[in-house]
Amino acid sequence: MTDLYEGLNRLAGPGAEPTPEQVEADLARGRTALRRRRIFQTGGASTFAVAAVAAAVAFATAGTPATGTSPLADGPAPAVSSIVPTKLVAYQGEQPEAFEIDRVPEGWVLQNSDEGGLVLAPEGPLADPSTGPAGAANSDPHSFVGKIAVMLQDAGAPADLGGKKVEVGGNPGVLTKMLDQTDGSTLFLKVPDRGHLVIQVWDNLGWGEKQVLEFAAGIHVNENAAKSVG
Amino acid sequence: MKIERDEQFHRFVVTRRAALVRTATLLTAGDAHLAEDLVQSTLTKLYVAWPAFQRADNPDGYVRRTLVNALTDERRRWWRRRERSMAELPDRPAAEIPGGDISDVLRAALKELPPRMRAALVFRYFYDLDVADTADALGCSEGTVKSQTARALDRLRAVLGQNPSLVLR
Repeated sequence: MTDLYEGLNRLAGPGAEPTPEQVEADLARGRTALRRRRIFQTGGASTFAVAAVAAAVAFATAGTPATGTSPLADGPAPAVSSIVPTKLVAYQGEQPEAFEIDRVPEGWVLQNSDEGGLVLAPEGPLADPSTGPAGAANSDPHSFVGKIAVMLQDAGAPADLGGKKVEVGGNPGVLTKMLDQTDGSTLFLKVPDRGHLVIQVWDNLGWGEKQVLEFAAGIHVNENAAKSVG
Repeated sequence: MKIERDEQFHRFVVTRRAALVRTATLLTAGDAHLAEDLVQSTLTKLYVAWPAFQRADNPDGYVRRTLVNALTDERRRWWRRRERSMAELPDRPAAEIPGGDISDVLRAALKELPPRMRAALVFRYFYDLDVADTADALGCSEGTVKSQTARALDRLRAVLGQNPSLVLR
């Protein structure tokens, strides 16, 4: 007879002492991450400074602050207001087998696709999976951090998540956040006879509801698409 | 200062890594590879924030929060593939886990729990943390911890109820 504590104790394993190589590898990862973080913070500060100068010049020239012309005006505010929304452009690459894409964020590429979904990421070098700065796009194609993930599944938005009811191409959907999701948002869109298209976007796009729905309108599920299973 | 950080971190890893792996193994329901990923991610975050960690009033709590945050990050990365509950467990070859059948059964039962509910169970019933410390680790209210652990036990009972070799008290 085993109780829960003993069962967990056995499942936890013996807890082997780390080898010197493991310790050195942990230290190396930490150093690399710290270096990346400092570079990232320096770059971010520079970008902010440029934006601040630009805003000051615009104000001085026009005499009045800009008003309600942002495409984000009719959508939820982005987490970082200084982010300029990435515009959608026509997708030029080869179409994935299971989903067709009309438009992608400018400067983004298709990083991964299979019958269950696809992942879009910013073009160019991505962060190392284990040490990249928080919120940066990850070079691991199975990571969705900093990216757009599209997939097909049976279930719609869990009722307890709440969210905003939306419509894309006559199909009902819910724009919401997953549990623990602090960045970006997730759209659950009903696809007649196919289940639900799920699109997760990250805040690095600067997108509001309008951009998410426009992107979703350009995703077409074809006969090769399969519903994701755990 | 850099050397001091490295030396302190080195000592921390040597003395605490094994325990972190055990905790991460439980938080991931026995997924050794994911547990190692969590530990690496946690240690990296600790190194980056080492001064803050050193100033923390409750260093153990700081480590627990970092570990849970790493688990949450992992969940966000994989939320689609890992969060979906299934009517049947996928047909995978059984991993070799010490403890044999009991561990296999318990691991399968823990896998059925959402990650944070599993974490609440592990902190409360394996590490014997009180409700306040568990809430601190999970970044939620004490009431949430109570409801999560109660539901976790109910779910485990439902899964383990047919297995007389493991009792829940």
